[in-house]
Amino acid sequence: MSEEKTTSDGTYYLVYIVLAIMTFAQLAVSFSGLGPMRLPVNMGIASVQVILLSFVFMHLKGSDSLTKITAASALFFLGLLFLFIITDYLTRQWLAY
Amino acid sequence: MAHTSDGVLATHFDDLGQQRSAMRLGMWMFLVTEAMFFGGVFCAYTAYRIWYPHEWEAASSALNVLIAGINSFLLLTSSLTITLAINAAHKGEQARVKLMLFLTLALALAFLGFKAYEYYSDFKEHLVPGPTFVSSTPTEEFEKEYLHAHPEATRSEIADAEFHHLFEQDAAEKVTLNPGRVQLFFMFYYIMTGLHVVHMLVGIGVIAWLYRMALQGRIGKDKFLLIEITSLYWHFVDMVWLFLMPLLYLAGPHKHLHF
Repeated sequence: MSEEKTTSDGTYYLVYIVLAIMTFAQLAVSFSGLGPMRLPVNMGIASVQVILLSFVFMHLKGSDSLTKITAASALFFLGLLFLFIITDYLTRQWLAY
Repeated sequence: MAHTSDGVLATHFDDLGQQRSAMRLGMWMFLVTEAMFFGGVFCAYTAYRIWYPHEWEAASSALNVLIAGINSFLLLTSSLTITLAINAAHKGEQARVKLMLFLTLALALAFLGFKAYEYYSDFKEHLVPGPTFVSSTPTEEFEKEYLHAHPEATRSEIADAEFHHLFEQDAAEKVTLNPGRVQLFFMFYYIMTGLHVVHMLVGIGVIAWLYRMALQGRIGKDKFLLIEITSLYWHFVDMVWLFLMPLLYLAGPHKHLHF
């Protein structure tokens, strides 16, 4: 099993162009009059960029299941971290009655 | 065989495929711990962002979005070049491996150059939290200009005026900002970008080591995995930056692009 599957240079160039366009889109959003919505929109664009980076540039798409589970575990534990800390911090001013 | 990078099968693996998977998994495990490490800072940022939305947006607008945008492109391009280096190593194209690793290094150093210039500008504009922050100590230029129009003004009045000029004037709604909270944003800005820079320095060190190996002709077909494992870390550093952009630089509205 020493044969390695590789992604072509062309695919990498294509993904790079998509990533660059998305960065332009983020900058355009910050100059638009979108108001407070600009943060969730830009975070959404960043999330798609990160998915592209991990699946294509980091080869998560062709990885074995153990690597995929490991990567997903980061999301799971980050989710727990955010869930418990944010729900705690944002409800501290609530009165206990 | 105790010491192996790739190509030589260590005795505790069944085959090279299993050995390569184990090496990749090791780096992914490390990246999970890194994600948790950065997660803590991002989580703290989120709590304060929800508490102090006006100060966060106003402070974000004072950051240099042109330099941040250029840096995004530099990092994305360096992610491309290091990935192309893996393919070149796979095909045994030594000259292309050297070129791609060199470009990755050059792009990373250019990023740091821009970042250093940005920190320097922030320092000059008194945007560093503490007694010299613009709300307590006005910049010399602003002080001169303000005294010209208001000769009787005291130093704290000038500082108030500069704070208002920098942060409150362009706000969409009329708000009075708390200078302490604005400084808190800048603390997050320096800590988050500073941690990112430290990670970049580590990456640059490893890529420089790979480049040295390539110059010595020691990155043959069997060593592509060394570049691939390093690239996983490098892409992670890129990912952190991709989230820092919207959180720090693009959180507030921008009207001008300038150095």
